[in-house]
Amino acid sequence: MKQKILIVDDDENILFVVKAAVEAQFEVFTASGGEAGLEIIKTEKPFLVFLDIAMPGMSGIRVLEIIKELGLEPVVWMLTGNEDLETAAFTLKGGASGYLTKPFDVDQLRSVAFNALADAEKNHKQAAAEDKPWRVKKTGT
Amino acid sequence: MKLDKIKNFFAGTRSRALTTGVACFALVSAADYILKNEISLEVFYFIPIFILTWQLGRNWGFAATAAGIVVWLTDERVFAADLAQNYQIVVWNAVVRLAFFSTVVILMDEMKKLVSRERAVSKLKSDMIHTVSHEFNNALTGLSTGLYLLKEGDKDSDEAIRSQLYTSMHGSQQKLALYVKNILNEARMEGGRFKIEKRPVALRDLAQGCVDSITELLKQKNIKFSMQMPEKPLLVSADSEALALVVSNLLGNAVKYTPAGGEITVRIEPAGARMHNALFSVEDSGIGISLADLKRIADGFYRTAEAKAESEGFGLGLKIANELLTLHGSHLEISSEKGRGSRFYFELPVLSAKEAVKAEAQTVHKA
Repeated sequence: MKQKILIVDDDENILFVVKAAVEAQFEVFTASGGEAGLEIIKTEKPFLVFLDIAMPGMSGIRVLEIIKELGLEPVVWMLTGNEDLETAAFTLKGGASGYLTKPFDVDQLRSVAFNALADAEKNHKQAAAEDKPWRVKKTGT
Repeated sequence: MKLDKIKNFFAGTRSRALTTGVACFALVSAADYILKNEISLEVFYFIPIFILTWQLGRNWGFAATAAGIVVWLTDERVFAADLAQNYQIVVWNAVVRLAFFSTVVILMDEMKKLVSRERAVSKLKSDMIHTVSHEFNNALTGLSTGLYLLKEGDKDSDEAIRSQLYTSMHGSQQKLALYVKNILNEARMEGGRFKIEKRPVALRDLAQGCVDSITELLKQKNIKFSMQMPEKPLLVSADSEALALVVSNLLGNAVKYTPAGGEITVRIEPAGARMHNALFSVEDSGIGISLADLKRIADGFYRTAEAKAESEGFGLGLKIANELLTLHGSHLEISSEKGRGSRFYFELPVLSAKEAVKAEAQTVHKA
């Protein structure tokens, strides 16, 4: 089963090319605004979200805040132009895992996706491994 | 750090400025009162007057000036010593104070206005650079990513994806081209270097060309589009490139601010006295513009709150459209209702067949 990725950007051309770049390996959802993006995060539970910072209406920063407030799980990578680097650095404190500067390389984009996937799988295994001693302890008492 | 604190303090609320100004005034007038006979402290009234004018405007400055005069005149020692002997001196001194401090207030106020205007302009410019680079980066991302994917999938990618990639890249390229055109034209117009070359142009064909380039967008947003044209093409005398930019800007705006499933109508019809004008109009069912915002749009770089929430852009399109039309002796007219859509239109005089032939011959001759 392919893992799910969500791309949120108000530029339809960006949505299209990013989707085309990763859709061979992942199941890709797209949203052209913050509200629609949040909806997809809740229903589809993607493991990774590429989130544009400067969007009309709900900005990427606000979407990130809501993701963290609601305790939603996806790894978030911000998409930004070099005009917004300060803001991008700021989002790292807000819980984003990193940011890609437009115009970005396809290789960069893919390596972010694969690394995030590897991390997610590692965490998953670790969590499963950590589960065991706790169970043993509990049955022991 | 300390300086910042002081700055912040002065940039604070009106009441804080008022308190500071009045306290300063009280301090100076008290010192003035105590030291009257020994040292003159008149000049120090400048401080409260400066604070009040800069922070609260010229009326407060004048009020402080008047208060200074009153304080001075009501000083009993002035009355006792001078008024009895020579009242002209008292009046003269009062007038000098009044004139000096009023001048300070007026200059201060003008300076404040200049500074705020400069700040607004430079903010506008830096906002523009921000938006420009945002839009450019987006378009470049579309192009570079598309190019990479096309290259990567050269041999085995399927035809449908390739054609979609081309369409998407074409969209990015067109956006980029329109941005560059608008920015350059704005710069040329600000520098007064914009020249137009008028030739007979069939408004219908020109409009059709512009419409063709947005068909893809119309499809994407599922907008109902209709075009109403006269049977015979109406010839106008215009710079076809400039006029195409006007029409593209109007169409681009209409598409941008009309929600999916909305409606856009383009009309070209004879109008004016004896039907000697061609009326071009773009009508949309978009977000509309309020009257107050319409005025600000004319200044350029202004985008309404609704426009910002709806889509990205510079706020240059309508300004440029109007300026280009002005060069043609026409102007852009807008009728709009917030939330119900807008209609943008302009008129240009129609050339008769004879005039057209003559104009064409002239341009050929010139060339």
